[in-house]
This record gives sequence, C-alpha cells and structure tokens, in this order.
Amino acid sequence: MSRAAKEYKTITKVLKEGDEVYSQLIVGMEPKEDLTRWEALIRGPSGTPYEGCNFRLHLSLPQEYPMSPPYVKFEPYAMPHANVDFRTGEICLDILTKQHWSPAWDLLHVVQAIGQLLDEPVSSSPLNVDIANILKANDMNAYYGLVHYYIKS
Amino acid sequence: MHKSSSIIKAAVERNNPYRIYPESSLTGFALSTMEDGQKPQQLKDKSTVDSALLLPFADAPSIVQAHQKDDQIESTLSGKIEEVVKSLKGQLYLNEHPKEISIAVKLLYLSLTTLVGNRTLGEEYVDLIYINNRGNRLVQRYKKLLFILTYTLGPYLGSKILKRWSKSQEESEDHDEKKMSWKDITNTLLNVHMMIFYFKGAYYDIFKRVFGLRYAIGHKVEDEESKFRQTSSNSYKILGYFLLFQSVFKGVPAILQQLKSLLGQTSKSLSNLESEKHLKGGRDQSEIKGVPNDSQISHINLEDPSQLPFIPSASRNCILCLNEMTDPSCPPCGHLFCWACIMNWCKEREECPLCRQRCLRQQILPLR
Repeated sequence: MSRAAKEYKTITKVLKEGDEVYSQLIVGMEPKEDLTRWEALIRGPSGTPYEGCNFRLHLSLPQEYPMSPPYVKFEPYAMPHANVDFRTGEICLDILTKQHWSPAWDLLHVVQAIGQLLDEPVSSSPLNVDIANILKANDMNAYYGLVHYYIKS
Repeated sequence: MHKSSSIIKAAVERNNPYRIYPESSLTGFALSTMEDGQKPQQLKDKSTVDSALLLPFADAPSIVQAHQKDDQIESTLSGKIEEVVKSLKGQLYLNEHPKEISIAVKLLYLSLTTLVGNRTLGEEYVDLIYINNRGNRLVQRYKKLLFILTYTLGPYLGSKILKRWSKSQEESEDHDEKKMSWKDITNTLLNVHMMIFYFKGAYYDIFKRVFGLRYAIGHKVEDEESKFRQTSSNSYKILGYFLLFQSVFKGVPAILQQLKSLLGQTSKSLSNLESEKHLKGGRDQSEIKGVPNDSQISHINLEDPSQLPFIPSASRNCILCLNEMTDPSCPPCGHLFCWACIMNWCKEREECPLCRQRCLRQQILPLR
C-alpha cells in the first residue's frame, strides 16, 4: 500500500477516535480529489490572537513525497501572521524546506508544526514584516489588534 | 639531519675505496664543485676515472622506498605548516585551500633539499643521488629547479587550465566526449609511464623523465647486494605486468565497443525508421545489463513473522513507507528502514531521517 494511503488511514483513525495532541488543533482534515491534495481546518490555539477562529490549510504532496516535503499554504488573504505571506498564504517554516525536511515526518506532524508556529511566531524570519516589527517591539496590544482586525472582518 | 648525514657519508666513503662520483671528466669535476659541496673530497683520491666505476643506476624498489619516506616526511611537515596557517588564517582558510597548501609544502621541502644540492630525507634513507640520464654527470641546478616547479605546480596549473578550457568548450557542442578523452589521455599516459617504471626502474615521476633526472645508488654495490636488488626489481616487473594486463583488458572492450558503435550506427539509422519506442526499450535493457531482475532477488519481508524474529513487532514497520519492512537495512546510527526507502532518501540527503546522523549510501547495511 502506498504511503499516502497509509497516512489517510491513520489520519481518519486519529480524527475519529480523538487524539490528545491532534484533536485540540485539528477540526477536520481530508483529501480533495486524490490523495495528493489535502485540506485541513485548524483551530487557533488558545492564548493567542488566533483563538476562536479556524484557519484553512491547503496541503499538496509532490510526486517524490515523502522524500520531498509537502507544499503547505494558508488560504490567501486570510492569515495575518509574521511567518505567513498574507497575499499568497505561503508559510515560512524550516521543516517544510528541502534542507530540513525529514521523511520520517507525516502530514499530521506538519499540521502540528504549523499549529505551533501560530503559537510562537518567529519574528527573525518574517514573511509579514509589519506584524514581525510589532512583535519585535513587543507591542502586544497592537499585535492582537492587528490580527483581530484581519480575522474578525 | 644534515650533520648526521655527512657523518654517515664519511663512514660509507671509508668503507668503499672505489667509491666515485659520476663525473667522468675534469671539466665535469669543475662543474660539480659548484654543484655540490661534498664533491671535492670524494674525488680527491681518485686520479683516474673509469666507466666501470660509475655509480650504478638505482632500481625501482629503492626509488619507491625513497618516495614513500619523502611522502611520510612531507605529511609531517604539512601537518606542522597547517597548524601555523590555522593559527594565522583560521580553519576556514585551511579548508578552502588544501591544494595550495600541499603545493607550498612540496615546494618548500624540495627547495630546501633538492634545489640547494642536498638530498631529500628519503633519498638519504636509501642512499640515492640524482644524475643525468646517461649516468655520467650530476644534474645541473636549473634542471632541478625546472623539475621542482613542474612537479609541484604542473598538475595543479594543468587541471586549472583544463577546467577553464572545458568550461569554454561547454558553451560549444560535444563537450562531454572531449572532456572524457582528455582525462583518458592523461590517465593512459600515466599508466604507460608507470608500466615503464616497473619494467625499467628509471623514472618514478613523469617530470623526472622529462628533465632526465635519474637516480644512482650512492655507494659501491657488492655482488650480494646487486643480486638482492635484482630479485626485488624482478618482483616489481610483476607489478608492471599487472598494469599491462589491466590496461589491455580495460582498453580492448572499449575499443571493440567503439568499433561496434561505428558499425552499428548505419544499421541503427535503419531501425530508427521502424519504431523509436522499440529502440528505447532495447537500450534500457542493455543499460541495466548485469543487475539482477527484481524477481530474481529473494527479498526479506517482515510481514512474515518468521523472518528476522529478533526484531520486535513494534519495530517491524518502516517509518518511510509505513509498511512492514522489505529488506530491513540500517545506517551507521542503527535505525531500521526498507532498503529501497533509505537508499532513495540518501540520494536526497545523506543523513538518517530519524536522528540526522550522517549516513553515506555505501554505509547502509542490509540485515540478513
């Protein structure tokens, strides 16, 4: 059985039975059309400005997967985050680059890592300079305000 | 080292009253006094010079021995110099210029020994001296200088020039074949050179052949010693035969293939018309000739619990394909993967997917 099919099985099982780690974060996750394109809905982690909102992720598996990392994007114009390009939804995360990816990770790990990124933005490698600057200045009011402005509208 | 060598030399001289240096004429003698400070005393007690008393040419084993000794000393020297460079310029510089440093070491070593007229430690070790190709003169200094320069800088500059040349060739067409052929030409030249050395025992380095720097044994060779030398150089001839066979066996199939492809080209153009797909299939088959067919290999599949029962059931799945492992294999760190999976991954990056320890493809061991 192919790796993607195996992962599909594990993911449906994890979501159905509920898992300590993943059920907090993942609202839903399912393949689109075939097993190379996935969509996931993740919950904004509590204690962050993203709390109470859900975000959609698009994952697509390259042909070489798992030898190459999956491409993961947020929906365009939906994610105000220091490491996400607001216009395209592109995510700057080291484990999603060819240099740092390990084939020992699967899609659940990837989604989990992105959940962690929402919790801990890295202002030193920004794709959204405005938010990164606010974070660098440690202006939490502005940070919450700006994020809320985008996601609540 | 200098003092001790002259002491040894003096001792050798006392033991060998017939000892003579290869100058066979008085003019040569005059020249040699300029060349080598030790020469005059050695020639003092020689009034007549006989060609029978010329120093014998050195044999292959002693030349190789001298070179090995020199290599050893050069590596110690380069270790010291690297330390100095490291403290001055840092480790990065050292890593960036390994070739240049080794060339500098060689230059330093040879110019402190050969160029000034001393022998290298390796030559001293087996008692060899440089003479010209006819064996009746010492080697002039300019030849030594030329030899040292070409020997140290020649290969380096040559490869640089070739690289640049092939780069410019890349822009034009058919660069691949030409680059290959250049490499082949130098390799075959070196091979032929080594073969001649093993048979004749004259010039170990190709640049010594160019400038006619031969070695002679620096003392009188008694019968027993010459017999011994004879047998040991005969064993070097065996090496020469091996090289000869190797190059013959390597060369013949290549030549045959060339001929075949030349002949085949005409027929190929005909079959080209028939069907291109068919041709492609045929070529693929010929490319993987010699690698066993997948069905011919007996795989170890961990789905079968009787296979490798010492692996616990929790560890029988491959983290890469998530299936039970086929042909479980382990990198140096000891993590287990399918053979195909880990080989495939190491093409991407040479590290273990789980612990990121460095793992070269050739280090992966299949479990049996």
